[in-house]
Amino acid sequence: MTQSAYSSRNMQDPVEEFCTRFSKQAGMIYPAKTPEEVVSLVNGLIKTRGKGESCCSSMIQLSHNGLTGNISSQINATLCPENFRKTPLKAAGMLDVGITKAEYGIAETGSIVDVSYTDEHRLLSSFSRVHIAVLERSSILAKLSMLSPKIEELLRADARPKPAITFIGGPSRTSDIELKSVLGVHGPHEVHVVLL
Amino acid sequence: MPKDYTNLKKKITAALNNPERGKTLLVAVKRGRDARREQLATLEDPEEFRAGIKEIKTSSIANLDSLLATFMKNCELNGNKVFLGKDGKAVVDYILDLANKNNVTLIEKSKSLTTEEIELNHHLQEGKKDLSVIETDLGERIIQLVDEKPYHLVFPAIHKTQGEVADIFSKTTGTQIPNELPAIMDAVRKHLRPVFLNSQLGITGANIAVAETGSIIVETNEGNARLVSAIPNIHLVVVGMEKIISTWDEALKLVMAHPISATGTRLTNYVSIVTERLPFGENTSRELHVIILDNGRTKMRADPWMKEALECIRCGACMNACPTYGVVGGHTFGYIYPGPIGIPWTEEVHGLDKAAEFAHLCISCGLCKEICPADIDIPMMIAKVKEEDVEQNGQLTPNKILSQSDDFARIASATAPVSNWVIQSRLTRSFMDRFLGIEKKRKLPRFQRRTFEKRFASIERTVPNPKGKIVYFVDLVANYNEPELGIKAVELLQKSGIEVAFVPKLKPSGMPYISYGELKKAKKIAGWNVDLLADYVEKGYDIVATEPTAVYCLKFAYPKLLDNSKKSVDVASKSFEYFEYLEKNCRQFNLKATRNQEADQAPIGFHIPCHQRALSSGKFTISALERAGYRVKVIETGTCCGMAGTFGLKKGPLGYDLSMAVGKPLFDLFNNESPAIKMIATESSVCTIQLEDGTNCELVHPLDLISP
Repeated sequence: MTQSAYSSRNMQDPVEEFCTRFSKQAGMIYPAKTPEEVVSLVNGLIKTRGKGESCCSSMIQLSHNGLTGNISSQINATLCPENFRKTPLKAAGMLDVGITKAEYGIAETGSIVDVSYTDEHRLLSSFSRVHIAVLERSSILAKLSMLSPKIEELLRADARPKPAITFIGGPSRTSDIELKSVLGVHGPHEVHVVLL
Repeated sequence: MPKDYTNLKKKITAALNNPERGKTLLVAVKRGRDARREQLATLEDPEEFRAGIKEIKTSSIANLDSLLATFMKNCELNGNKVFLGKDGKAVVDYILDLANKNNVTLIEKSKSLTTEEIELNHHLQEGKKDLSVIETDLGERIIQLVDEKPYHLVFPAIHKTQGEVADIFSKTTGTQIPNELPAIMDAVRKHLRPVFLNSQLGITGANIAVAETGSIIVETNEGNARLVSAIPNIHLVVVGMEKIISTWDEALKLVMAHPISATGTRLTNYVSIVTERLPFGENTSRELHVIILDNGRTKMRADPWMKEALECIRCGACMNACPTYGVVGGHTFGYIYPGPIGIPWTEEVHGLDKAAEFAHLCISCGLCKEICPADIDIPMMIAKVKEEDVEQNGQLTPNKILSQSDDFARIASATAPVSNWVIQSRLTRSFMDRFLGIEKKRKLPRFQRRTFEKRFASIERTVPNPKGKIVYFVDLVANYNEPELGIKAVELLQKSGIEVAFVPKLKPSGMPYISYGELKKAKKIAGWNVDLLADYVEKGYDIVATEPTAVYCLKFAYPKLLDNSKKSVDVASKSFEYFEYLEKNCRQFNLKATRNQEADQAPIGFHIPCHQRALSSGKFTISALERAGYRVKVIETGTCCGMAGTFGLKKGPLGYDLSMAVGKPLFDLFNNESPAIKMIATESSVCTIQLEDGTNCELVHPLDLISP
């Protein structure tokens, strides 16, 4: 089967396609021009959307103008990852806002890709009521098939540990009751992507 | 004495008497069909998409032995425990042992039809009395609380109203929950959150297992599987061995195929890839167990007809297309695996008795195969299950009579018009209704003494300088009931420069034998017809039929019955629908309308018979009608009209009653179209009977609307 069989018709710009699809799937997108703006937007969202404790991944590395830096320490989260790690069940029970970095975006499905090396890290995007993900435009892939070599690399035989990889298309949802669409079941009710 | 299927008939009647539940189900399945079609239209090449899935699944099943070995090896190298469960008991014993060793009292589960296949929850709770197993998928939790089986593959609790769900959670939580969706969802979250946090063991299924890296993939929309696979100390996966595929390239294609077919979305909201057990906080000694289930799958692989069932990707699309499932739902049309694909799966993993309880709900329309993303020949597998049931338990009387309609037609025709008078008499119809199970409300076609065969003998057959030559496959109705139609078909082709041959020894298609599980007889007819036609094909003849079901048999059913013999494949390749042949070979000849259609009149309504959906879906017929100057509009629900050959002639819930219930949405569409449709054109003789009974419209064969 050729790759084209799965291609969307008429995809012009993968970033635009990603934004369109993710938004249609009830995700929210906030463009940012600099890492500082990313920090400001994330902190703003924690303030306006959060109703309780927040925790940020310790490894939000961003590349901008040839430089790479970790912005995690600048995020105003209330629970530090170290404490989360010490008592993850207790922290998960309190968690309201989880902030992570999305390693990739997939344009043709409107999904972000979470790569987690611990299970408590997975909870930041799965047990929170609000999930904020930082995504770099340069990480957006046009097609899901393009993720294949990246998955193979992440899960190669000598990789330790082999991470959990999750594609996330927006808030959690169900239509189990009379086919009525409901957002926010067990996973996040809101997913915000800050796009650098 | 053959089985009477009393239990099945009671269930069908109960379903027909619950119109509210029926309405919700119809909305759900129609939504599924429509969403899938819309999503497919956004793909570059939908047909190649389907072919690609088939290729992945076929090669995976063919290479399953080596894929299984590779997956197990890689999964173990990741530090996981891997167990090959030969049957449900082996899996239950493994989990109970694990639960006992680890003092497990609470298990959280995400949706897994494979675990339902072996009734895991029930056996675990029986085997360890202090153990609670809690489903965390909302639909699964609802049916767990009321101890029911899934009603639909994707929406297991679709038969429950919002009010009923509120009551269920009110009883469970001990608090009165108002009949409002936000309140219900709030209660659901509060009810399940402690389960997520406090379980010692989390059990998930897996949609795909990837041999390349020993990983499993779980797809959900709710996000519950993410929690079930992350929080508990032990994560256990139960995956059917048929889910193993080779590479990430293939896995990512299937990951898109599932939701496109199931719900018409590009991707399920959460796709979780788990390869090894990760630390949780400071706890690094956590476990991942992967149980690969056999439970009859190895045996299925060895069966040349049934092995295709292993290619199912569990999307539920066949349920959305199935006309009878769409009326009666999964509690009637299913045991644990519901719907069309549920019939061969139930027969293989739960036994013939369980499958036979609902196999005869299949009316052989073939729509399941048309919608299946893996192009699985579900109809023929179902026919095999019916055959086994009939051989073991006998054949129903009306099925016996209707499958021998060729013999009956020959005699009725030879004795017409007296036979017509007898058949149509109230006394005969009452007798047939009471003792033979043929519904007296149905108008039966009249038989003609001067059959097509006799008339053909006396028409001019020479065509000067023929542009082509065909054998006209007359089938049954055009020979015995409507020979004028057959003659019209022949004469139009002759006037278009085509030489037409008729082979009197050809038998009617034999489709009723397939529908009623008499495959040996169907095979005999297929062999007979193919032998006769192959000689003509060798001499350069094409085969043309006016009855869509006849073409369907020539192109699809016969090759399957005859193991794709060279002759059957050759005949199939040269078989055409009547209008397909006309439009492809005779377009230079003008067609005139025989009926007047005023500018302010409604268009002609066009009905696509089910078997024609596997062919051209009527596009050539519509083209011919439009060439003649008609305005034509296809009116459809996307599923069957309900007649399904001779099914709708039978009395009762496993016949007329269900047939009319299936047809009602289509009748309503035709009857309520504005401006009002006065005429319906269709090429199927049996759909004509159904639509005459259900609509206010005149039924016309397209051949009666055109002339050269």
